[in-house]
Amino acid sequence: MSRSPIFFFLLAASLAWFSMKHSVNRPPTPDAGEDQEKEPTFREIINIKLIESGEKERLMELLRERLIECGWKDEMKAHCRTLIKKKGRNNVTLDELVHFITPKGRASIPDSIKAELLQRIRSFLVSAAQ
Amino acid sequence: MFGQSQTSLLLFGLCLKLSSHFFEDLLDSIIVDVASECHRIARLGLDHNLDEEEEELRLSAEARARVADPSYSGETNGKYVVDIFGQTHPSVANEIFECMNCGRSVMAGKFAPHLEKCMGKGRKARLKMTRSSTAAQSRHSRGSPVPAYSPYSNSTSTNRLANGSVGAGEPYSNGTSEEP
Amino acid sequence: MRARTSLYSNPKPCKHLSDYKLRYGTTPFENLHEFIKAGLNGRARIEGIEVPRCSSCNGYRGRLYMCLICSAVSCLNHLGLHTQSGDRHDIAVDVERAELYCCSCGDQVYDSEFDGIVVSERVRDLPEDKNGGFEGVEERTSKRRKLKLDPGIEDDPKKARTMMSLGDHKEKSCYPSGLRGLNNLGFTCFMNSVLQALLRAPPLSNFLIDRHNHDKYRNKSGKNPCLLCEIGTVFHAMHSTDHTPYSPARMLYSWWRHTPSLASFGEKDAHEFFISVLNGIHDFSDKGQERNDSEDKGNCQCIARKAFSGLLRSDVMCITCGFTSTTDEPCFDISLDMPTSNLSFKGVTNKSVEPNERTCSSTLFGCLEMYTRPERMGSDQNFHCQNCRGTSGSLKQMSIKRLPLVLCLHIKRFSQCLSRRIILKNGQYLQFPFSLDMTAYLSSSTVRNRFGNRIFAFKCLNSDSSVAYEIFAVVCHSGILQTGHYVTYLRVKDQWYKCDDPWINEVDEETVRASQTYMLFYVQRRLVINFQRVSTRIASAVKQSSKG
Repeated sequence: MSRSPIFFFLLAASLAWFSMKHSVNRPPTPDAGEDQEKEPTFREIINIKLIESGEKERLMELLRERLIECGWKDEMKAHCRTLIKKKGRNNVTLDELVHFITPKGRASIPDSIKAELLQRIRSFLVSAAQ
Repeated sequence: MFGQSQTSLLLFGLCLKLSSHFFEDLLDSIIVDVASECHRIARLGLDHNLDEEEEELRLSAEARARVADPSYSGETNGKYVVDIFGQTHPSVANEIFECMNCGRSVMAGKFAPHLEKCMGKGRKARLKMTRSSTAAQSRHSRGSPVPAYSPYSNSTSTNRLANGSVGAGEPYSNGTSEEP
Repeated sequence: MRARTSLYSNPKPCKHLSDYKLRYGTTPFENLHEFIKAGLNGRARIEGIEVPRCSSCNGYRGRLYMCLICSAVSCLNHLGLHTQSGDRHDIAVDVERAELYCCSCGDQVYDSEFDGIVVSERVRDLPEDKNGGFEGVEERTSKRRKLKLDPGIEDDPKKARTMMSLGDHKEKSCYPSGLRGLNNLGFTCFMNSVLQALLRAPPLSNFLIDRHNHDKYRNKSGKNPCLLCEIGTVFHAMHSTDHTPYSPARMLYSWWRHTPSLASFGEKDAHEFFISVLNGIHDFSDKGQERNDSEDKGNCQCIARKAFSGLLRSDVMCITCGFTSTTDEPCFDISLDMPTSNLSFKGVTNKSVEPNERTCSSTLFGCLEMYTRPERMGSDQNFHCQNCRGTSGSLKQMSIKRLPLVLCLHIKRFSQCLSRRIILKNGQYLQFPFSLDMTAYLSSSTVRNRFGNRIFAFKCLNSDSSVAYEIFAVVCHSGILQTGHYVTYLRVKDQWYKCDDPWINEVDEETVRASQTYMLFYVQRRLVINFQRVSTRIASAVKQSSKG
């Protein structure tokens, strides 16, 4: 079994990864995490690969389509509307909307869709490592 | 330091962790997309009729609840006692008039089955027609009891019909009117 | 409704944005143009930055904004920092969404010139209308229509409603003209229900009042009877002073002769009858010498077309290159699929998603939305893009290009299932509004939506005054498929009447709202008001003609 240099890099990176104490649970809204301030991390390298290969855009497209099909998007829009109604359409800010729908948006993802996407990402990681 | 199996386990764990991180990034990005879309719609006022829609939804929900109540009576005159003109009607309309095809007197409530025979529609009538010389009109009819959509000259409606609406009573009419 | 007039105007920019534009004009937007990539689904993004990261923290996650003055990229956390350090660097652009963001207000802001630049590439590729110019026709017609209207009235549903009830209460003992039961001739409730609704359609009834209009057709009937004459006869019988139920026997006879394929005793589909009668009228005037105004069928000016015909637009977009081909087709009605409850839960296996009201009972808005939603056509559909010759599939989207005066919406409750022999009825409840705004389903709206609701085309999209509809008749199907029954609810002067063959009875609004609707008849709100004036004319005209 031949190993590519990336494999060893992955191995080293994963050791470094586990030695650092990262919290798996992220803060409630997407913002810059502490790991972003470090040197280019392993995760960033993969992210660059995802972007450069165009896979990220394809994954986004797939997820978007799935979330429309299953009614998640409609549900989120309706959820947005409740806040817009409450605060008035000219007073609500984008950031408020994002904060408001993020918990529900994350919680109401159908398992099957999540599984499908995770599978796709994993196979990308595997192909990137070989 | 690590055996082969431990290495792959470690990598597998990393893979799981990474993939779920990336998934969350994707999802968060889409959440912002939705919020941004809604924000735009709100600021541009493209949702103006939502209030009206919601009001209609509310009225309908209330109406359904009221109608579901057993004590509810929607018709002010009570059901089928008298109509708004104070008239009452038999279950089968008994007005008598002359058939425009054969000139015979027919009762209104029995007119359609009469006309079918009289105009020589349906299989039953066609069988009859071979024996009697009832209707000259039968030559005009295409003699097919099975509904066909072809006579529509308008292509739009043909498509629409083929797509969606299927004759409500077709199985029924095929079934009963063709009995010998 | 003051809100409506300001609807499609640009939102007022914040002072930072106007400041920015004062200082820099629109040149920065134009410079950005080549980096903007607008996708097929209405989204746009800024490209050209290889892997965007925050200039302060080097982070790449979450939202990233690019300053429109110095092109520095910042994440949301460091955006404030950037604004403070620079000289009024307030306005930034969201890299992922190509939306403007004012750092000082902390909110997304909108600008028509920026939006115009975002979509300019794709708008250029839009298929041109034959009539010249994108959406130009709609604009013209709406202007022409507006001239005739008293401004303000038709925009207010409440006013329209009070207009509908004008003069009602004082003459309670005398019921509005035109209400008369129709005898069932043996499974002919499908015909009776449609006739009751048809004869209440203002443009058609206006036409029928005039005996002259009606007589024009009489002589030309030839060997086949004229359906319009028969409808006219029923119309005049309905408006006579006789309240005993009328037997539309001649109508049935004429229709059978006209449409031999449907001529048999038994239950029929009301919608099928409706379409075949309108086609009958249309065909007749087409064959007859009534072709002065127009040669081709598409512009036929028969009353069926005038009153009921709208124009549907279907766009097919290649998902590879975005090339869109557009076809228009006239329609007498819009047939809407009913979302079945199973379908709306498709793919949602997560228990945390609770079935809420919206997914449980379907609504007319939902049906219309589904109808106008872009639909992915797979690569198996044999699609060949005429532009790039790609075969990887297409998006198809329906929309309404021109709304009819009388809008008939048909709910597809009957569907063929499994094998061809079995027809199933969907008895699910469908919520429908009494006042309907069709704006969202117009071609202009769907196209705008496809461009991410950018403000580019707003000059042509000024609120078309004829998008507001009021309901006037509901045809309901009760019972199961084999032995169903049709009844019609009519709204006359804001009182609802149930027309069940010979029976005419008053009913509550609630009964109508809770009914199992099959066909819905809406009329443009402005016509409702005119109709009030006309209905008095009908009464007198009919009285005179019955004397004469």
